[in-house]
Amino acid sequence: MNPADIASSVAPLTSSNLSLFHLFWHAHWIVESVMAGLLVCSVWVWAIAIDKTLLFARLRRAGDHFEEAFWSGQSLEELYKSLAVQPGHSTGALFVAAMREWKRSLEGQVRSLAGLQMRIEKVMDVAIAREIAHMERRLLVLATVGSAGPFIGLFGTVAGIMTSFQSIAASQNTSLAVVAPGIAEALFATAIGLVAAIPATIFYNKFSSEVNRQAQRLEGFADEFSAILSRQIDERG
Amino acid sequence: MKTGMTISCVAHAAALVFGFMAISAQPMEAPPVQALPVSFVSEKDFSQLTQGVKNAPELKIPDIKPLADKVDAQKSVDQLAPKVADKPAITTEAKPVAESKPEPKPETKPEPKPELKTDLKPPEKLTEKPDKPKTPEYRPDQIANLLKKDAAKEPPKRDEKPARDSSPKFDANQVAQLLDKREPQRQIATAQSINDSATLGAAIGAQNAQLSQSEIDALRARISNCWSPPPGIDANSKLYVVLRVLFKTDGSMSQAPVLVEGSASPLGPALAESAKRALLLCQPFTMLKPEHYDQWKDIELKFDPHELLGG
Repeated sequence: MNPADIASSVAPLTSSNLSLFHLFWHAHWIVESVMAGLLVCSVWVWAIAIDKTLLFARLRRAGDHFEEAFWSGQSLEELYKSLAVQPGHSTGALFVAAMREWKRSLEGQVRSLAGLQMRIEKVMDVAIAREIAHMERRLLVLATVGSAGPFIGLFGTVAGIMTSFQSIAASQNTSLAVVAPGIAEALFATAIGLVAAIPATIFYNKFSSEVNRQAQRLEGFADEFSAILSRQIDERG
Repeated sequence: MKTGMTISCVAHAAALVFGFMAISAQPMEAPPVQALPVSFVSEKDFSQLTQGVKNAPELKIPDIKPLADKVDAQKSVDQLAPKVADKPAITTEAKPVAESKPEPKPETKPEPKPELKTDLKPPEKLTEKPDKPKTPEYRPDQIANLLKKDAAKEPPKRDEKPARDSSPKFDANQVAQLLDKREPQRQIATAQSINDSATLGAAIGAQNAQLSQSEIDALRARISNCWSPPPGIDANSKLYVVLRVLFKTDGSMSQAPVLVEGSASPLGPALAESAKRALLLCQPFTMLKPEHYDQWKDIELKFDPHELLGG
């Protein structure tokens, strides 16, 4: 049997059409599904990354804006009224939650100042936890893709190399023209895995540090605000 | 989330399209390897290379020159010749040699001369030997003529010698030929060297293949039958002896076998003598076919007790 016939029957890839499309299209179905899954992961990772980038930029801007307004000497009542309708997120939401509890305690029939300090702190803790949960949402996807992506790609590569070696054994021909296309397909799976995993890991680290920074900012504001409120309670009590 | 998803999908689609379009493996540019023509020549083909082709192109003389090493030998003798001529003592010695000449001459000279002429066609050879009345043109198919000429040549040479005896000088070329102790076969061997181009080749051509295994086995069986190893030598002995044997066409030996190689042992001479005796007793070796004579006319036989007695 002519080696050229074997080469063309086993691996329809020739050097002329070794494009990415052919690498994907002629691969084994396991490799194909791995590559497709990794492609979806990559799309999802980038979607999350873009979303989070926009979210944190918005949060930072809103926080700066709010703190500017808060420390400008503006009446807290007015600030509360302007924010209460649409508190947004971050420090504003924290402030709104604390102010709502404050007003409820003062404007009710019974002025309950005894546990007000503790209640406001509790409310602010809950608000901080909610804000952090909002910021951390979907970050776990990045972590998962970042750690599992290379392994998934490696699985695709191993499967592809296994099948290509099986076909090499079947064709009983070890010329490079027979061996190379199958291995190139298989390695393409690892390449996609790395393409998905590297940005995922980078973005996960970046966003988790961003979340920490936002959480510290919220905690700092909560402490300061509870100190202010505590002074107010003591003056009124 | 929607904006992020949209942007991500669009970016991935763009990257994939770019990858499909732009990134495709270019075939590596390997410099073309120069093909080496290789042909397999079996041993049989190799031996048949000497087969003649009737329409072979005639070889140019310069091509054949390197094969005939007589050319070099003569030059060296020419350079030596003046030294010999200077010494008067040798001239006296030369006379007895010249007198004893008539005996070896008929044996040695007629044999090499036809061969020499075929090889040494170049005319400058002849100019170097002006005293020899050789006919420059030689045709292989005119052997009879040549023999006649050789026969005619001998008497005049004998006539020349008395003339030379009287003169104090002698012809250095004659001495050179006398000093040339090389075997006549030497010329034949060089002339039969395998050449790239087809030649007229050996006379028997394709039949001149190889000794068949059956011939070799028959020879071995015959020798092992005839051979009575000397006492102390049996099949387990590590001794051996190699004899060179020259055969005639009828399978008998043309001369006594010559010891070529043997184990260093006290039993070695006895072994060699017994082997020679066996060969003398057994001849003629009729199992050697005359049509393969070229293959077995001059062979070396190894007497290995382990093979001949044990096997």
